[in-house]
Amino acid sequence: MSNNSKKDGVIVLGGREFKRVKNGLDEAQVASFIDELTKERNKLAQSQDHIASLNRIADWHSRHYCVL
Amino acid sequence: MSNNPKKEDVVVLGGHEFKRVKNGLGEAQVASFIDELTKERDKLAQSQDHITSLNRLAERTVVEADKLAAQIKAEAEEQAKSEGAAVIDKAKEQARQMAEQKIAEAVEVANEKSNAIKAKAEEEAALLLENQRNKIRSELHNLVNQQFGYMLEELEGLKRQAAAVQADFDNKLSKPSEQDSAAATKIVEESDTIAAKIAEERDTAAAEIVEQIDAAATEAAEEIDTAAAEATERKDSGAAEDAEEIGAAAAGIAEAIDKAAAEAAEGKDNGAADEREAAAAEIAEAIDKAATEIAEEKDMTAEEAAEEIDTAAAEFTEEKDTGVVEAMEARDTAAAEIAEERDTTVAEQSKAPVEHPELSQTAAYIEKNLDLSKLLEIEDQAELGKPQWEVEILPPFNIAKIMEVVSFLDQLPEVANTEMIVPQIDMPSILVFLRGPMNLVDVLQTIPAVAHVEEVTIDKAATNGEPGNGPRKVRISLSENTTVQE
Repeated sequence: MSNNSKKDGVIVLGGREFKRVKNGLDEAQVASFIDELTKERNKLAQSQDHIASLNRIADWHSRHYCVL
Repeated sequence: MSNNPKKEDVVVLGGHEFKRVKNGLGEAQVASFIDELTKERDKLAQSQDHITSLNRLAERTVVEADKLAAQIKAEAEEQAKSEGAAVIDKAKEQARQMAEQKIAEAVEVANEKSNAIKAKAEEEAALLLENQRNKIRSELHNLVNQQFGYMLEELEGLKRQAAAVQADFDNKLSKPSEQDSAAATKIVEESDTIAAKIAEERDTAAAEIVEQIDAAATEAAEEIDTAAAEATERKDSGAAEDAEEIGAAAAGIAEAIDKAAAEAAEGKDNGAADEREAAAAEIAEAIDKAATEIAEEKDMTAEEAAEEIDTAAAEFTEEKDTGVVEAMEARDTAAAEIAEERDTTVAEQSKAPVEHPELSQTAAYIEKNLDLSKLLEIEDQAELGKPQWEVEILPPFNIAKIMEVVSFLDQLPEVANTEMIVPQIDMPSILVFLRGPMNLVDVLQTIPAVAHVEEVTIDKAATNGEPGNGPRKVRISLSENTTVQE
């Protein structure tokens, strides 16, 4: 997920641009950690979307069938 | 969230250590981005926990809903059973009431038809018996009258023969007495021959009458049996029609029961259906039993009617046989008396050939022979009553002329009967019984044997002015060229 596009003095990680500075953070480690966080976020967001779809189905079902 | 415990050449961001390098990424930018990502992740994780708790709650709700559904289902089944039992009971009651009503109607209709058929059969049987009784009575009456006519004709022949014998006596009076005994013997033989012939003819006629009566009785018995069979057949036919109506009513009842059972069967179990079928079978059995009882009752009614008809026919046959026997006895008695009187008269005449034959003897002979008419017309005399006319005959007398007058009167349709009265002292007379009005004076004047006719008027002073209950009297005198007899 480390979609890194390199420019002169600028690097893109996770869709965001980071400047290169002296005595900065290791690019590989930062990229790995950002990739890990992004995956977790995407997984939770996907689960949230799944729950939302189920809620919509439940609402539709409750409108069309009188359940108990 | 930049929890950064700094070491040399190592930076911690979001709980993760990063090394510092010579040409690395800006710490502030990386820390900001990592903090942003961490917040989003925590927020989504928190939402996920909430959904998990909701799932657990939903699972518990589903379990409770299942329990509640089972409870509601059990209650609904119990209520359905109780309502089904009530509907079944109501359907049974309705079916039973319908069956009882149909049975009562069928029984009532069958009873009405049975009573009507029985009454009609009894009426027809009574009418048939009355018709047959009248028919046999009329036939017997005609046969007796016919036989009486035959006997009267024979009597006329006998009278003519007696007149001839008397003429022979008159002729032989002048001859010697030696020939009298021979002539008397001849006369006795001729009289015996004539008597035997008359008796034989009478027996033949009586046998024919008996045969005709037996034939009429047989025919009447056959007609009665036919009428009884027809009445029984009509009753059986009526019973069959009633049985068909009862069967139709039972079919209607069964159909209604099936319909009610089908209606009650909606929403009910098989046990209730079995119970309904048992109730329907019970009702059908009751209907069959009622139909059987009705059929047995009708059979008993038909048997009773047939028995009554047979009893009436037997009584009627017995009555006819009794009438035949009585007629035969009367006929035999009359024949015996005629033969006896004839023998007596001939014997007396043969014993006294010299003397003149007395008119009183011949008249008595005629009078006694006419008693036969009294024996044979007992029924007619009862109907005739008193005579309407009395014809007194003035002397001189002539038996042939008198018999001519009597025969002429007997042949008239208005004359029902005549009676000859020959007293010892007074003049003879003829009593005339009429069927209808007739002027006897005018009729007597047309008879050649009658010379003079005179009606005797009744003295009203003797009857205190009353017309009197006796017959009208007429005096006649016979024409001349007669043999004058004392």
